[in-house]
Amino acid sequence: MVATPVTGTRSVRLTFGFPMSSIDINPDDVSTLLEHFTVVPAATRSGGIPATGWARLAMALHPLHGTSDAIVLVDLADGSTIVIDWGRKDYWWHGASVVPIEPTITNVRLFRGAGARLPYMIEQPDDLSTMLWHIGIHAFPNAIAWWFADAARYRLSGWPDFTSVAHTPDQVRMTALLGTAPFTAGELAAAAGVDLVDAQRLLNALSLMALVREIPIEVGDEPTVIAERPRGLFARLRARLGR
Amino acid sequence: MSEHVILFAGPMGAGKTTAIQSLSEIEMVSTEAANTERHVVDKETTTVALDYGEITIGDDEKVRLYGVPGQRRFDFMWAILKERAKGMVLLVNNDSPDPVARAVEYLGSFTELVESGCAIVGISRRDIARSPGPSDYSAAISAAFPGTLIPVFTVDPRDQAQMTTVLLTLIATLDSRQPVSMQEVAP
Repeated sequence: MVATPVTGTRSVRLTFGFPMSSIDINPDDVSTLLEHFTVVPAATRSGGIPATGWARLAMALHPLHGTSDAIVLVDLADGSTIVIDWGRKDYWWHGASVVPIEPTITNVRLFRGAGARLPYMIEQPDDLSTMLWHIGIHAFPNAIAWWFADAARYRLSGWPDFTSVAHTPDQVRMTALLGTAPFTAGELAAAAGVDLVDAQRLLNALSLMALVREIPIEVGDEPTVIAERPRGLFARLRARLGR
Repeated sequence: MSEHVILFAGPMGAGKTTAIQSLSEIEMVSTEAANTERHVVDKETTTVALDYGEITIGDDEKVRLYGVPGQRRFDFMWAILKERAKGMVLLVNNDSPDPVARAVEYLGSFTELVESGCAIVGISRRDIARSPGPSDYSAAISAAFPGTLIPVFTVDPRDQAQMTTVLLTLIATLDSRQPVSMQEVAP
């Protein structure tokens, strides 16, 4: 299979050399998304597709966790192309100098097949985790991501590489809290003393990076009111260091 | 005076001295001597006792930053300092032989801090050697110390912003382990 995504100033020719199936996801075709990818009730609850294009890409990528045989090509309206080697957790972005907050994605092409890897790329890749963080933070700006269950808490299963991504001290603190106990977005916001949307955006990013695990809330498990945790040394040091 | 001791540990050449220089508000106290192991790491001097830096918070609180020598023959210093340590930053140079195994080995010398979640790993020189990545370290550390969740970051010890993120993350993990009050909602 050969794919030739054309970028603004150059072309990248990809020869995979093994059989793969592919799915072209028209960004306006909701039924394609619903047919090919797991969408939990939050999708319908949200009242439609979020305005930003990152949500569409997030919906395509989230179901890939647990698999390693996929290559994803993403075309953006500005002429740039994102190439993702899911197995190696690498990505390349051709033709863009600034990573947009709200991109317009014109097409997502997903290639799946046993051992799907990009055989050779001249340019040094970047860590896919940094892109997943960016997508997760911006994909659903005012809501929990569609794939989250209604009755579940989330606990940290791995740390994002905070020195490699744009972050806030509150996100660091919330992540640390998630390492100590499972939280819903609301409980996390209360414990950290932040707005609900800030907790939701962090959970969206960590989930897209597969760094939280879901813990269902059992029937009879009473909801809890969580007092804001003392900010302690973290707050004093943060103020001292001007963060 | 309230004080919080943070250790900087790891193999020779990982950037411990530089990391403390990046964070300390005072001129760093250092015990450098000629490096007799230039076949291991090609630098002229290395730490033989400890490095020291500090950050003052208010009138009566300090974060004390201690860098311990990387060579195993100085491990008696590790035992002295870890008794007072609240947390540890382990730095590992990614272009050294089998850096993941070295990280696990060093963490094994500070088991109490690791198992209580008071440690963080910084991978230096990843611009020279891209692999292994943070997830490789995390997997090995989780296997060696089940039940722990140690942050693993890519770092440039010369970069003050990155080292500040490392230090704040470590402190956030320490703070998050303080007791919490939770109230059941009345049915």
